[in-house]
Amino acid sequence: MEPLWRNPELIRHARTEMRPVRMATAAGVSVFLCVLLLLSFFHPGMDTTSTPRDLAAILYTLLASVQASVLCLWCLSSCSQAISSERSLKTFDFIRTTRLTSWELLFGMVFGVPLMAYFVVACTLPLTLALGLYAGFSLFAITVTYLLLLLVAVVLSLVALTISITTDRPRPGEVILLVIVIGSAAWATFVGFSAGTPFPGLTAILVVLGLPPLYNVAPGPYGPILTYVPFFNFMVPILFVSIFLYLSAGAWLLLILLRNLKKDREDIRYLSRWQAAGFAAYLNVLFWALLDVRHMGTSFASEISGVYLVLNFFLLYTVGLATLPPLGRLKFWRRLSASSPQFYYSEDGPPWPWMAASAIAAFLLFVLETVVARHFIPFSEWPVGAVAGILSVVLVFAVRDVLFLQWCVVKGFQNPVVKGMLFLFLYYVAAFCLAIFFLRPSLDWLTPLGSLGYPDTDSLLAIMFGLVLQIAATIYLLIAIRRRLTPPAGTSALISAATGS
Amino acid sequence: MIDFQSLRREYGNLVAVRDLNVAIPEKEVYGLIGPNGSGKTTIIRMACGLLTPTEGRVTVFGVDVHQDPEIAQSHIGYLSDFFCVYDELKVWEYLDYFGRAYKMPSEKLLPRIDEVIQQAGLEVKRDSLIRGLSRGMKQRLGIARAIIHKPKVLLLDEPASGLDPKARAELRTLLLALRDEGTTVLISSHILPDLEGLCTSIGVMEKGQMVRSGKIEEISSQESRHYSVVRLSWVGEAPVEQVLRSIGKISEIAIRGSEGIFRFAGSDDELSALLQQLIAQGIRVVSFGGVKQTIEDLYLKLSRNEVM
Repeated sequence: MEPLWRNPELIRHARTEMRPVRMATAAGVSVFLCVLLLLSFFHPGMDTTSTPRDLAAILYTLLASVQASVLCLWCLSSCSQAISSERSLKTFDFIRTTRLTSWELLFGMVFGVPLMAYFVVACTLPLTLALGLYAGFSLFAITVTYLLLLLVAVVLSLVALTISITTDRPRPGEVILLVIVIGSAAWATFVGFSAGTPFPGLTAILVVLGLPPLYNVAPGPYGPILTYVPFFNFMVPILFVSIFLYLSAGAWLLLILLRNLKKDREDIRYLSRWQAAGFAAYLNVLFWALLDVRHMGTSFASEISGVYLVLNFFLLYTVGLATLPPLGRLKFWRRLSASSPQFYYSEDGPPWPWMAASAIAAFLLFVLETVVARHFIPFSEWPVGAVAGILSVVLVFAVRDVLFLQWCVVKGFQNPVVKGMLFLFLYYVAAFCLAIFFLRPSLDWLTPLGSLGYPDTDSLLAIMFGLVLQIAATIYLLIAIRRRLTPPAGTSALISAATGS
Repeated sequence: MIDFQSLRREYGNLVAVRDLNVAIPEKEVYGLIGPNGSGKTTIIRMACGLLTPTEGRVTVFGVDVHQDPEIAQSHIGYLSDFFCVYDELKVWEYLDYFGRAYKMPSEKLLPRIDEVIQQAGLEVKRDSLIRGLSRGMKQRLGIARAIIHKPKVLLLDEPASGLDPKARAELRTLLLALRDEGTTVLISSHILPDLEGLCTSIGVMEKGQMVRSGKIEEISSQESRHYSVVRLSWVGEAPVEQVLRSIGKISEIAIRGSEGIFRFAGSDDELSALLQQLIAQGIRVVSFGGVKQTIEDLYLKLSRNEVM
């Protein structure tokens, strides 16, 4: 790979964005705004008790915040349109047919697309640096702050580019994915902020929370500053957890982009099947890493396991949806010989083997955690057997639902996944109504919810019956999908006769 | 050369390209013809690595386009129908970007930029911003971009679409020059006169299938063997129409003044015998001969379900 400054994509953006007149204007405007901001503090009603150093500290914080906001928003907005606009102008095809590798292209885009924002920050940086040093902050603290800003800006650029590779015509699946990502981030932040929750490490999503200790800031009016958070039950600086979260999330985004950047929209699949199963395992590892079991009583073992099961219920669906192959690829897979190893490990076959692999990985991680956390909660308190059983039930239901979506795909519905999900929603509503108004055990027969609440002996029989019922339904769906993929007898001969081959 | 092996592409239930097996030899100009939606663009997009085949493979000079894209791309230049260029760049900057993206050595890049600018007739616009260029100039710049790295294979998808007659003529001149330099070209078009005199081979696509593929002369002679168009002119008064009607294997006779045109369903020997017969009947023949078939004639003949 060529050095960054010789990257063709970066040079192109530099030539487009950084014409001398445009650079001079941007630099002039940004410096002028900074000076205005400084002057706004010197007015007749200003607080005369503040020392110049206090004032410099406030101004430093203000300017750095403005720089961070400008850079982050600019990265998000420009990168989210970077590829979609190139696709709509049909210029991206030409880039894809060059010898630029996905690495080089991505490198150039991440730093080239928001180049003007980096330039604006660079123009105002000397002033911020001078203010920070005058205020008495260490050069180390300032440097770490700006390196963190760079890290966040790069990760946000990667998020925006990931959205951009598929969103010139947003598809319902992408909208759902976006809602899930934003919802999860909001939920995580909320959970992290709530006092006394078992996931204090989630607060590290807000990088800014890790900065006050660097600047030796005293506890504020809203309570003590969270300096250390538990990570795998060890107390570590919150800044470390922030860096871990952003680096690991960035690595997954990088993987998605490198896989898909040079692919046609039709061929984009965010992750390979092993990677999707790996991603589910990563989220499970994150769950255990951020969970604080140090001060929990032994009674919490069941509750923690319950939350873990619910998380994996959703993860199994996510893996199933992420690995759902399009009809063309599934037909190709069907034509492979069953005796070939490719048949079973193919990227194009039905998703259930990968869901099963994810469930097994989730269970193994659970067992690992029970061993690691035995100093806080004894091993005997963890419902290992129940988790294995419930995870199996959840897996059967998730496989059945995903295979139903697969059947919708092979049936040739328009928007098959959305339609299939709508049918599943109606099915679950009907199952609930049946359970509430007529037959209580139908909840155990038709949904996995009965098993999630640690069933008693009475419910166990109903759940077992439901399990048999769902396995039968799954087998029926597999047969139906297979029938749809097998051309009727004689079709091949007809095609050959028609084509004359 | 370009080799399509059992190439297939499906979009859901639609088979856009069905089991294509074609080998295009080196230095050939291969015209891919067919109506809209026949699979031409899909083939070209698969050939340049933009689209992954559902089955089969494409090799360019022995390199699998999808297995070794980086090596394959060094052999391929690609141009599509309607496209935009980076308006904020200058003409030379645009070519410099693609030259770097094709990983050309920097010492060879600048002379090559000037060379292709000259080839595309854009010398006076070298340092101009692209936004000031006309549509035809942008198309020529597109060709210049596609050949900046001296590709052995040029893949052109409807390159003349939307161009005015002057720009089309300029494009044609440029393509003829590239053909003469020995570049292998795969060009798709449904404007068949544009391909006349340019292509050495054609492939006729219909509903995702290759109906016929081969050298124009071979296809033309195969199609004419049993059914050719003959033009005849004579002097003086003669019952030409009556004579022609009395001879078998002749149909669709059209006489205007002392000229006539008709279809003859016989071999070359039989055609020669026909001329002798006309002279023997007292017709003073001035000219007599088969009419050369255009690509359009061939296409119409091949695509009217006569072959399928």
